[in-house]
Amino acid sequence: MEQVTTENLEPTADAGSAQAGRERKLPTGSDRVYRNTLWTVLTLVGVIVFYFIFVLVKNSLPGWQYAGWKMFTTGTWSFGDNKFSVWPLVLGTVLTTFFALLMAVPVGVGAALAIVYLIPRRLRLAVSSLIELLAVVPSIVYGVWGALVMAGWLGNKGEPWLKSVAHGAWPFNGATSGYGMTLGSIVLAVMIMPIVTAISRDVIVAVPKELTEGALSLGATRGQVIRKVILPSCKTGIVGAVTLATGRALGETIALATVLGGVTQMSPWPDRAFSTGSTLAAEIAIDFGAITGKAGNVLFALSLILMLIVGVVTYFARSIIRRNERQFR
Amino acid sequence: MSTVDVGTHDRREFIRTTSAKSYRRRAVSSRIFMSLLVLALTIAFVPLASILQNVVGHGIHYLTWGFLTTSQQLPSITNTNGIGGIGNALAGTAVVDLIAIVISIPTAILLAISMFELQGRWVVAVRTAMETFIGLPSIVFGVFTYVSLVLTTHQYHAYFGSLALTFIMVPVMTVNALAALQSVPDTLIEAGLSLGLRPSRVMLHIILPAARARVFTGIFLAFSRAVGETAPILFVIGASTLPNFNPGAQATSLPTLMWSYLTGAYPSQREACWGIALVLMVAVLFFNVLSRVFVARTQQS
Repeated sequence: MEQVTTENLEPTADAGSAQAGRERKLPTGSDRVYRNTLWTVLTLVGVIVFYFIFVLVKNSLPGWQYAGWKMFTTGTWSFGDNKFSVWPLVLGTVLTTFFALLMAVPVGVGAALAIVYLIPRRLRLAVSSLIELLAVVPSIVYGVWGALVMAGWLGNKGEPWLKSVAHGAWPFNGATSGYGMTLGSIVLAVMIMPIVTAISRDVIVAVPKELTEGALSLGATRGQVIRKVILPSCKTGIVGAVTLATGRALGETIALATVLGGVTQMSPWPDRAFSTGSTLAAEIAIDFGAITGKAGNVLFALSLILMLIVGVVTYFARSIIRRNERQFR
Repeated sequence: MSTVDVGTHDRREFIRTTSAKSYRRRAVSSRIFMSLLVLALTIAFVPLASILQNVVGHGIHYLTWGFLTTSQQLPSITNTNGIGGIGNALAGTAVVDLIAIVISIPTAILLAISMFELQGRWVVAVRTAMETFIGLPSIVFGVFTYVSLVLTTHQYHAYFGSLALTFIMVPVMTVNALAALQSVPDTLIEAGLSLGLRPSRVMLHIILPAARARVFTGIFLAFSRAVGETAPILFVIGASTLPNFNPGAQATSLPTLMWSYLTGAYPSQREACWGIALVLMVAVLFFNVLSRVFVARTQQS
């Protein structure tokens, strides 16, 4: 039997005040086992997080020493030949992410608007669930689809067509193999589009009805309402969605490792639309099978760079989305 | 135009014609804009249709009892189509994922409860870490597991893969469970506390039951993501061409088998990727639909 003491009653008084439930303090003294268990779990997980960062930093140190400043002053990445320059990989990462966003954001936001304003209410859930299905397709399946379906189509039809339209002008010149930056950007665009759609849809639905109805009653057309009322009031939310998608795109590994074709000493730079390339994340997966000694530590250093970039982007995305959620409450 | 002296009737006529003209122009541009939205939605469906068509179309005839139960084989020169089945990979996936989920669920729920009940900088720090972990590239966790376990033990084990998947699952489950706990009305909690229940009892008998559906949503969501993950387990579980239920041994799982077939030398191996992809998609979809069922249940209540 537990005794009813003032300590036990304290939380009631506390919670009864104007403070929100989240500010509730656990009573000190009673329920010690519960409290201690919770602190232990929290501390353990926190320690694991720190250990995670510590291990990655510690193991990448020999890599920094081994590759040295050449990581930033030279221009070739070729793992087998001990040539470690991050620039081709950084360029590959930035280019694929940029062009993927260029394709995915208009389509994603447009699809979200269509779902909210054009699809009958009964079908809305079904349509958006179908698009979000793309978000749960494992990345290796995208790799298979990219390598076995899209690469063939691009190499035989898509890329030669682009080349003839552009009369072989840069960047649509040179050999067309299907694999490469174009395919990588397309696959990446398909992968991040559902993220943009899902979050934009939630933000668009949350726009107060009074705003749209007010504009409509003033004689604005539906197109005007969407462009001049809804999109501006959703701006922060959509920016958050795009930032989150950027984080995903920067870190995508397996799908890009299968469709980008890789960088070598022969073709060190992704300098055309059809040239092969690689990204930070993909290169780690590709070279991991062949790691020996200090060269392996260079890969750990790469993963540290990748983690820092993506971590910062994701952190900002989360804070933008959270601020936006608060705004509408 | 206002300087021109016109009668009241003319002025009305002027306003009517110009507004009608303006409306016609605006209606046309609105129509164009709306059809662009339809176009966007249509484009969004093209890749989905192509992926489903190929995965089902190429994969469906792999769905035989023999393919699912026999182990993988290397094609030989005499029999380039003999790739066997995926029995070993199914066993590996079962072992790796089962251990991962057994570790993840209690960890995530306890972690969410402690973030809910406790305050302070440490809580905020761990929560921020979990939210950031959700977005980190999964390969980073693969590298971490490799560095901290494989490099120190010089061995590959199935349960190393489970630990790597834990890093993928726990953050997703925790963040969802925390949101679930916070969505429980304060009045319920206060009612429990005012009856003199200890906070642990309130959590166990009031908050957790009320938040159950949303907690499960997070669990299945995390699981549907982890089942298809390749990068974190690729370097740590090794490979096994025989079905193996021992977590201490090496294992091949569905995604790692796909990766090796995709980079393999035989066309029959690449074609078999579709079969594995179909099995993987069915598994992923199953857990995703489960999570959606729980979402629907939350919205009802």
